[in-house]
Amino acid sequence: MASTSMEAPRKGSKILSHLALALGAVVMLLPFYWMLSTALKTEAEAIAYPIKWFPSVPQVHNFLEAWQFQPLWTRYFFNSFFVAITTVVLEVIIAAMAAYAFAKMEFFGKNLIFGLFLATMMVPGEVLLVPNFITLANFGWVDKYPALIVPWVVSVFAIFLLRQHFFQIPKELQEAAFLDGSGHIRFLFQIVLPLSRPALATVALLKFIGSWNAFLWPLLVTNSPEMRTVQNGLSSFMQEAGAHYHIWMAAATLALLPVLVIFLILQKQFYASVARSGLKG
Amino acid sequence: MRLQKGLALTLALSIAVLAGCGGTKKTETAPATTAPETKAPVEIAFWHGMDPKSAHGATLEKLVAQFNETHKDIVVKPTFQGSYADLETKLTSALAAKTPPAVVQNTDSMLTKLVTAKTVEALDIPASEKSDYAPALLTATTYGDKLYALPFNKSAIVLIYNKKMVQNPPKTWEEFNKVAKDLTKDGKAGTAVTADVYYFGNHLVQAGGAWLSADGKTAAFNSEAGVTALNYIAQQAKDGIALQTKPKEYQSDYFNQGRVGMILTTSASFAFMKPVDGSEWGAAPIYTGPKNAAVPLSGANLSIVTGLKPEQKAAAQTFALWLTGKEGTLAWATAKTGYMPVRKSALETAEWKDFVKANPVYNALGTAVQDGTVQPNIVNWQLIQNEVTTAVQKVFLGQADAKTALDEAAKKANEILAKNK
Amino acid sequence: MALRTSIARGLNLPEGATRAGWRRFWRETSLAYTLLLPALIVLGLFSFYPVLRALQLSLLDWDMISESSTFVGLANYRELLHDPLFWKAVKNTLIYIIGTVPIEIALALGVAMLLNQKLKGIGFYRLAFFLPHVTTVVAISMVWAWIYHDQYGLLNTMLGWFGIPGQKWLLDPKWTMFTIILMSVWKTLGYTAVIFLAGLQGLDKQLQEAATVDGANRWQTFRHVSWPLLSPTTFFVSITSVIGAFKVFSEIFVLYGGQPGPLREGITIVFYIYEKAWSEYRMGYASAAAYVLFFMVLAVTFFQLWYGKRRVHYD
Repeated sequence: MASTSMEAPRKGSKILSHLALALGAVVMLLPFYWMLSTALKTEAEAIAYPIKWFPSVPQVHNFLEAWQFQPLWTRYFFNSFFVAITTVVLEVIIAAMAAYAFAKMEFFGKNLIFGLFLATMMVPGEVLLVPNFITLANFGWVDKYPALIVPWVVSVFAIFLLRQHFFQIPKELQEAAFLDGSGHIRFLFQIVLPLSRPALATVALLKFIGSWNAFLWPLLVTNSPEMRTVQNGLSSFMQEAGAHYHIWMAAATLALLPVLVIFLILQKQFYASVARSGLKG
Repeated sequence: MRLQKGLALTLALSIAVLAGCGGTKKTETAPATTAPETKAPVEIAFWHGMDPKSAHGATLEKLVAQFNETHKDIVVKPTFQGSYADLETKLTSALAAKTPPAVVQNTDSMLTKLVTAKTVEALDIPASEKSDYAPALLTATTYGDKLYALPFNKSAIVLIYNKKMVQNPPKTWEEFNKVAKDLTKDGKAGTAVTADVYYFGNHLVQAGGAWLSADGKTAAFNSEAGVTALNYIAQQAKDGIALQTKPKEYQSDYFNQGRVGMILTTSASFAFMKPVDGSEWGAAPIYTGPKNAAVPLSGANLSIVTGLKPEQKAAAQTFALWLTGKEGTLAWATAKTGYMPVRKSALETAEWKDFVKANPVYNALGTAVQDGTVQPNIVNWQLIQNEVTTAVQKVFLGQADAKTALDEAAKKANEILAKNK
Repeated sequence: MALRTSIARGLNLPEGATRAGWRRFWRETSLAYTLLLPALIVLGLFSFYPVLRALQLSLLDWDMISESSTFVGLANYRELLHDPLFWKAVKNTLIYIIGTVPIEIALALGVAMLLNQKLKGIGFYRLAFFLPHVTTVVAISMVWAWIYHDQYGLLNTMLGWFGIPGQKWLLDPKWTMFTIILMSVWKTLGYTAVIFLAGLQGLDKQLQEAATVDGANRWQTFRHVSWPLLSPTTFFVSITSVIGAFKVFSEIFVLYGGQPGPLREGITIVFYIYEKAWSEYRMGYASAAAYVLFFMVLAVTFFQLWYGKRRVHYD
């Protein structure tokens, strides 16, 4: 593995690539453009018919209004951040350990346990809501942070994805490390994890988004407004027909910003392994 | 990779468990009632679906604060739990986990499920209080001879019109079509219709039809009245004098956008009417159908959950009676929520009459609260609603004529009703 | 005998190991379970337990809030298999899987290869492709409601350029599954592409270079080097995509405002389960349906694992 593939294309194909990517990007950016432009419209423009592509005069104050509309925003942002980051950190650690065991170790019942793990992906979450809520209520976690975090710190998806990546780490690397006297734990933390940065970044990113955008669960397990999250705050703009679309979109744009920042940070990790190309594969 | 073998064992294990689980039964014990505490004010939780950011929720919070102020021995803690659908999900989970609030707001269809599951108390309120509620509202919350909820926020279907486009609001079906036809030009239309059970239902009662037979055992919506009603609304869409809403669109969106001049909607949306071109809007009573002028009602109620300590139950009832009492309902209605007073005594006060005089749109409510109609309160009503919606959509799509579609839905409805026995 | 061998294989017992080998095996086993412990605890509480509980519920007639429930044996399963609506849900779910998974994988792989180049503004492109997955569902559903609009919508406008008459996408039941599939592919494309991208980033560049030096053209390099090397990722994506597609629900819920489309033509298995549980309060029946879904997914995953075993190249 090691030296990461990053193709430097020829000129002709470069232009073609740009064209294809630009076209795709335009299509993909539509929802974001729609959010942003609606956030800058007046209420009349926001629901105008036929639709308006551009606001005639950008209403920047919509963002201020969106912020002031909900006095608990700071609290909501804090909760969402705290919950998302804690969940991501725990998930990555737990998933990496489990994935390593599945990918690089031989142990009793390995296939059975992995099969059980996989099987949990096949159950629709809609039927798990009530039993899990009851469990949390029995723990006395309702309206507390653990209820928002603990059920989500294990993702079989992440374990599976990391396992697939760990498989690709050459056996020779492991043999060399073990000859040097390192055991599984050291090999995992000193060699495997640094080599798997793109995969770890992907897992973290997807979890952050999942946690940040969760709506039903936080509503279910919290009672006091102070414990709710950004998505719960957002939904209260939309309770009634046609109410304040422009303000809502401004708020939704604000709520999206943290995810964009996280994406940009984690995206860097995709390249990080390039620098490590010295490691022989 | 020997994953298949792992999965095979998983499969075998699941089957083994499946086989071994045969005799299990769910037995959960009721929450024990502990000795009452002394003196400290009784705390009760109240869950509702009125967004504090709207006139509805803001008014409700003010009223609860007022109640707490005047009742030193009780502390009501209100919590907004999202839309009615969110509230229902939330309440169901809390009931399953045995952590429900004391008082809960519920719609008529939600109440049916709660009553069936025996999770709300039959209310024992003084006869003088009971007779003061508008009778039509109580029929929806009475099961057998027991009352399970007090009507709280109740609205009526009214005709809302754009004053710039409509001078004299139509009073009958024919007049309505005529006005709608005149409005249909320059990309605009007379009204907006939704091909669903509610819009059909509004016209069914107006055509003199009923949902069910008098004994409640068979479907009756496939009557001549039903066919007339369905043809009336489908024809509006076919003639282009009505725009058909798409999923997630509200008639009020079309109205506010100025695309249509009139809509039928609930008075609860008064708080959200705001034509973007700035023109004024008015409200009139719903037009009269060929047979009668029955006004469909909607909205929600207050119930008290089972399993409370006696003093909590008493406090919950005090609160529910206060909020839906003469003063409470009057304050609620006159805060421009679009909801009606639910008490006869409140309707007769000078305060309400002056309010209506000052806010003429409320004239549209007329005596709706007294002689309006509600949907049947039977188990699995929502399944029958699904069948009716499908029938209505088929007719709008031109896939079936009204009689065939409604007969088919009625047949399925009768199967559902038969299973309820 | 054969059974014993396959159980031994299923439990990963080392075959013909020496005493020292066995000791090492058990030592490694205890270390492995230490690493798995946190995952086992959390999954045990929030997955295994409720899944087994659902199995028990599937044999009951229970509304999830009453004190009492009735044991009905397999009656829920029997009723389920005789409900035409359930079979319609199964059919729609299969249509959805066939309509989304292959297209999504092909497109995502293409996008990932495009994004895996040294180009100016590549970071921007990556972000752009990923945005549909990040943006809140409400914004997404509003955009698509507009794309599908029959008078002013983007789709009908574009069809108009080619002289193709517009359709009533959201009102006409014959287009319901199509509208859901198109939106889903668009929404998950960037997400799948990111997973492929992570896979591509992990590939050994030297092998590809060697192939190029040997005179292979780009297609040949892809076909004979990148594609086989990428097979663990492809394998992962196809398994998780199929499992995910079996559980399709929120896309429909969001696009059709909580309804399964006109004439209920867009009903899928999970939508069916959702309605049984949360609208009819038939928790036992919904659990039975969930188990039928579970076994269907299990069977398909089984097949994929068996097929993958012969085709996937590790290391």
